[in-house]
Amino acid sequence: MMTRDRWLNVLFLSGFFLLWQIIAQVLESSSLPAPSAVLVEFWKQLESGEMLYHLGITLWRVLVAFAVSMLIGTFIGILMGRYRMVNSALDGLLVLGLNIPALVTIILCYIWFGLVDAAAITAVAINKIPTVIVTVREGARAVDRKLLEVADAFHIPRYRKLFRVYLPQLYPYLMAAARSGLALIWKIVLVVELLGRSNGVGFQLGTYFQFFDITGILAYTFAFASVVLVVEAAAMRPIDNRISRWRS
Amino acid sequence: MTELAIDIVRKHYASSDVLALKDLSFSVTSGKFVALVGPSGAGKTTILNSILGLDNDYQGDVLVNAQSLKEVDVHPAKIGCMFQEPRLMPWMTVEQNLELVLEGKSSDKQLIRKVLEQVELTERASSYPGHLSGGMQRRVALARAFAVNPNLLLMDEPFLSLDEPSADRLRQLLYTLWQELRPTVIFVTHNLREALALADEIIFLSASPGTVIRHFPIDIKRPQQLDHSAISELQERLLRENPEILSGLAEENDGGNINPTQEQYLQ
Repeated sequence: MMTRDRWLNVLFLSGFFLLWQIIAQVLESSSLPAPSAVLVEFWKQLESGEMLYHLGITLWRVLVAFAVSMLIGTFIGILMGRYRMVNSALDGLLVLGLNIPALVTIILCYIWFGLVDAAAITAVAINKIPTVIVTVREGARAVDRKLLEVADAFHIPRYRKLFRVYLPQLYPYLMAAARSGLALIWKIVLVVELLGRSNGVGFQLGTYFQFFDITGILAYTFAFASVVLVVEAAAMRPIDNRISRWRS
Repeated sequence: MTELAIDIVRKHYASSDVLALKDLSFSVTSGKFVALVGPSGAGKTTILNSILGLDNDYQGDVLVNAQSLKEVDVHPAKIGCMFQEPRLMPWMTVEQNLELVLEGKSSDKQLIRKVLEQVELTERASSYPGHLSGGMQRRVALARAFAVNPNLLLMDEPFLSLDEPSADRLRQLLYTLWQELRPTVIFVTHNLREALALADEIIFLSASPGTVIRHFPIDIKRPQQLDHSAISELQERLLRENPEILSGLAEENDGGNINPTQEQYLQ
């Protein structure tokens, strides 16, 4: 059963595409291709295999950058939340890291490390790590010491204390960091590809831009948005449901 | 079987000059149920932490089965614990909470089923603590303490701020479980009647710095309801002999409904 809110959502979305289709047909301009034309282009690209190749490359970069940022950010975030000394030492750097424009780190990484994937991923990670740190640090500060004392009192082994008592308290924060992290990384990876890689969705968009091929740009946008939605539905939401089941 | 010998000469609170314990010395023979009774600031929780081996920063020694806790790597006793709050992991079901403190053996499931049966929570095994009443949460905490088959049970005011019927039920359960397994028990409370109703012996502590004022062996039939006349008689005798115990305790009145007030003692 669809609720009324859901109906409204679908109604407005289809209304938007319908309006777009009508305006595009009336204008008949190459600057505004109709949704139907975008879909045709999307299908063509998909069949040729080219789109899958570029999407695959981009996804791979997103995944690696995401994993690196989460691991490093979580580690530093926990230390900063747990130890005042570490926090005092790193807080200035953190504020700096939060405020450096993405473009600056991307350009610097390419200059320092060359136009290679390692530079691209490093640039993305440098942009993302500070925001992970801030969220995880908040979580580490909110950890309930009394529950950790239970683990100590029962002399539970350290690794079990870490994985079953400590980290579960951080899950909501890790989840928030992951969500906002993916959203940011998708966007930065495209810029990184545009500036210094010869494949990936960002590179393709750059090429289409040079030819003013708006249909191609929108076809890739559509493909990309679909992937993001699939990742949200297939990975993020089930994980979220699983770890917050006890709250219901 | 677990024997304790506590002999703490001096213990300062962490990172301060305030003396928490001074010349505190008592021993507990195996299988005894001992209540520690004293006002706030008597260092009761500090004593429990040193028995747990979590705090070895004191002058003196704590011996468990004649082994100094300052010298052992692995605690000599199998410890079960209960705190002022239930302290269950809210993201784990009742069953998982018990599993957490066990060693991951194949026999765990049976053990958990048995102990949940004993606290009458079998049908709540897969509930989350947030869905249980306060009394039920304490019963899970009690089950957790006994699930590890403890030979040493440490309880830090475990029935604080519970309504009297729930507290009474928990005391009965505790007594039954204790009789079956006979761990050595250190039971911290500042409810004198509760101590009289449960323990073999009460050790009275002074206010800061904590030291032993009096050992008081109890030889009435247990467990009794807190308003039982035998308990009232014992209490009257005790307070006649040691009125200073009352003065220490009567200051304790943090509004919890089982914390005794002066009127309750004198009624």
